[in-house]
Amino acid sequence: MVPQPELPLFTAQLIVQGPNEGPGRPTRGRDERGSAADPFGHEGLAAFTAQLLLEGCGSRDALAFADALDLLGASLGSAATQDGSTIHLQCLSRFAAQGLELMASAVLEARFEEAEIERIRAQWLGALAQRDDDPRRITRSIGARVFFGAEHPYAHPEDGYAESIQSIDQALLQRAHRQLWHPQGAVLLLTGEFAPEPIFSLVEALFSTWDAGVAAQPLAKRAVSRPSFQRSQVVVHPRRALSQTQVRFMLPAHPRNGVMESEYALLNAIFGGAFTSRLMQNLREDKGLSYGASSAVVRWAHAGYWLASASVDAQESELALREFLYEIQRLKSEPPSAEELERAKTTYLSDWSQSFESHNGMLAQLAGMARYGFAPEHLAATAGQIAETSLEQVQALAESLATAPYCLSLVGEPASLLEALEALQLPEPLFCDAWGTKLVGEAQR
Amino acid sequence: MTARCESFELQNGLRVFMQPDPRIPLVAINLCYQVGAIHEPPGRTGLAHLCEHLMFMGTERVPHFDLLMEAVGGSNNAATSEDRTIYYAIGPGSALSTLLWLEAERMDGFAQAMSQEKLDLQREVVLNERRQVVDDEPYGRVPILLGDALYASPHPYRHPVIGWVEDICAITVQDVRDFFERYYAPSNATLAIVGDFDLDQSRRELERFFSPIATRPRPLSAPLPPAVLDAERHLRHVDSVPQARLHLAWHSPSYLQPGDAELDVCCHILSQGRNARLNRRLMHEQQLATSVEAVQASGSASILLLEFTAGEEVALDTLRAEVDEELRRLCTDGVSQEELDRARNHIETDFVRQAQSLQRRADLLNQYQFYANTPEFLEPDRERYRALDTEAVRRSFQAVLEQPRVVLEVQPLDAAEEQTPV
Repeated sequence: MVPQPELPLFTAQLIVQGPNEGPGRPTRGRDERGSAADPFGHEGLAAFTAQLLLEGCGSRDALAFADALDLLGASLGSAATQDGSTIHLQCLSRFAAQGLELMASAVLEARFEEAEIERIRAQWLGALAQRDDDPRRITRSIGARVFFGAEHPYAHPEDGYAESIQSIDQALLQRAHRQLWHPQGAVLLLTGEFAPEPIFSLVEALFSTWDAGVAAQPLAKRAVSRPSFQRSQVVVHPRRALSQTQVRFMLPAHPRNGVMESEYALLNAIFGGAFTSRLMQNLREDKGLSYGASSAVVRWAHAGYWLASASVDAQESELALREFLYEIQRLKSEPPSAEELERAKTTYLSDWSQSFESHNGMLAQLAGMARYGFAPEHLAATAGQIAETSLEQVQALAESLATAPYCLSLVGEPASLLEALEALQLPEPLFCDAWGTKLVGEAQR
Repeated sequence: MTARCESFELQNGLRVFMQPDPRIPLVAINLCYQVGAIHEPPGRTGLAHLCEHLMFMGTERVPHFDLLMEAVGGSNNAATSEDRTIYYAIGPGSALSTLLWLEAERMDGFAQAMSQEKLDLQREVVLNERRQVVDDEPYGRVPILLGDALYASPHPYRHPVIGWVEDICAITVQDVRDFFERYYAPSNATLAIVGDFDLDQSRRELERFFSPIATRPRPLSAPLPPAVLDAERHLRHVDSVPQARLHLAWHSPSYLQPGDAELDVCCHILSQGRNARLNRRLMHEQQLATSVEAVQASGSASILLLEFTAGEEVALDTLRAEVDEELRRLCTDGVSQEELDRARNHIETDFVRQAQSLQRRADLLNQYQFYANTPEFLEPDRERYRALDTEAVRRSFQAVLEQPRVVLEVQPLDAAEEQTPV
């Protein structure tokens, strides 16, 4: 018997989200509880609300609450994603009960005091100023806005814009709290080393008074739909004196509803999700154009996208774009081979099993299931589904990707990018500011 | 949290640490070469890091290193620091044999397979890495400016690990071969394996792959010259950034040396958690800063580094005056027992969190071997923090704060135009 390391950690995550009908069911009419619920003009509301949960609750003001957490050596974080809001606790197992009490107090008894709102707002605006100065993060903002359409619930960044954060007041935060943070559809996940019975009893005691009533005056909803993305588009944020051009392709993908989970995962490993993937080998290992080129699949409740991106040598922007386009087309002209698929399966399953190493990794897997209405058993079926995925299935998805319209967002020197786009006969670009708003006249240059 | 670790040394000098843990059917390996940026010859900064990149370019027998790695479900990467270079991989327990064979193969056959074509290609990748993390990254030049100010030439910690562009461009195939031959010897490496494997079988395989590699003398490392600042250095850097930042840096005790754990605790008390001293004062009460960070960056030469992002229209002089007052308070009044307990709880949680990861545990075995001369230093490391008292923490902090420091101000381009130079 090999002695095992003791890992006395406790982790808990509470997810608030719209009730799910289950995978594959329509999500229209879902009660949104993440940034997709942000009303027009108040983008960032869900994320700002989540942050304010930690700034004073119950009998504790912000400092007293922080002090109580710090005494445990615990970390408590909250956030909003597109489809839900979440609060996450990690502490030593011996502090599990105290940690849970603080977590419940944050969720149920947040104070939203004016002084704390203003303090957090100032910090938030500082963070947004940094985001909007970072070329890599700018490509994300402008790409999403063009890909989804300016009014789509997924078009804005989860953390909002400076103006929209300025517009949020105490009354709106309290309304958002009641609208977003109620127990209907909420899921509490617990992992780690702990005795179940006392913890379950404590959870019962802490959360049984959680009010299921929603705000009397609900937040204004945005229309939720699949993005109406019909033709390829290019959007450029002009920025001089950069030594690299930021390149980001977005292509349509299915929503996260249980459809083609394995095909997406495996094709991504072949396209740009692993070191030996096509994008990485071409742009980095064969041509040295970038430190790294990669792809990812992002799938939310209502829509998803493929992402292929890299920071490339500004002097070689045209060549890099040509190679990106070549690799997208190659998915059809040279479909994934049996050898590539086999390697993708092995790599994917190894990476996947690594996520069970830590309590946090385990929690992330369970949260991924819970978020989109999958039963916990779905997790156990993952390995089998990956193994059974056929080459034909992956090739069919690859072909659809190769022929899909794309949104290309670029940040870099405008004149040379225009030349590159013309040489490659790509669509005429839309020039925009760091938030995706169209620039006109001289501002374009 | 500790588990049994089997240690042995091959005849060619390679030291091996094996720690079985079958909780999850994975195995992690970590091969540490005791070579880093401080060992680079003059005019060849960046050579250690470029060498790390080239190690993935294959050998004559294994031209496609990563294809074989991923075919068995392995994934891998590497990292170069001033002191050492580590190569790490993780994969299913059944892949251990392949992971070991691949490491042995490049330890043996790297130099013969080196070519101008490979060097030129990876040089371009590294130059792109530098553009990404230094040139175009907001505040990306800060570590370079600090290194330049903290260490006088020719201290080997002065230059950035990624190297100067002109030096990277000057590196030749012969430079790479010479560097490899000198430093990538089995006797200059330690190999750690943690995870789901059979101890005896794996040891046999390991010996089969690594024992034939020829013995080479262990390179002698010159002791690091002392890093001393004669007087406070005040620098002002203007950059295309959205907010002003203030950086304060002092030389501090080396990793695991007396004073190192004390400074870790001080950094927690100053900036970890919303109620930490600097956070409370600067972000909560006076709202002069939008972010605060204090870190004891430990290595063979350590730095105590404090970093502040100024709030809108807050002058860095005002911010610095407040910071200095809070630091003085810690030096004179010390820390409370409650603050010490709080920091220890955070640090203990971090230890447990790290111990969950097979890769991190393999890395720690090598890290402890390098800095403490034994792989089994986890418990003594935790004990360093348990044994601290409040007075030791205060004294260590005061000793560092009494030394000269570097003050680096980063000003946004627009704001800088309205101010007079320092």
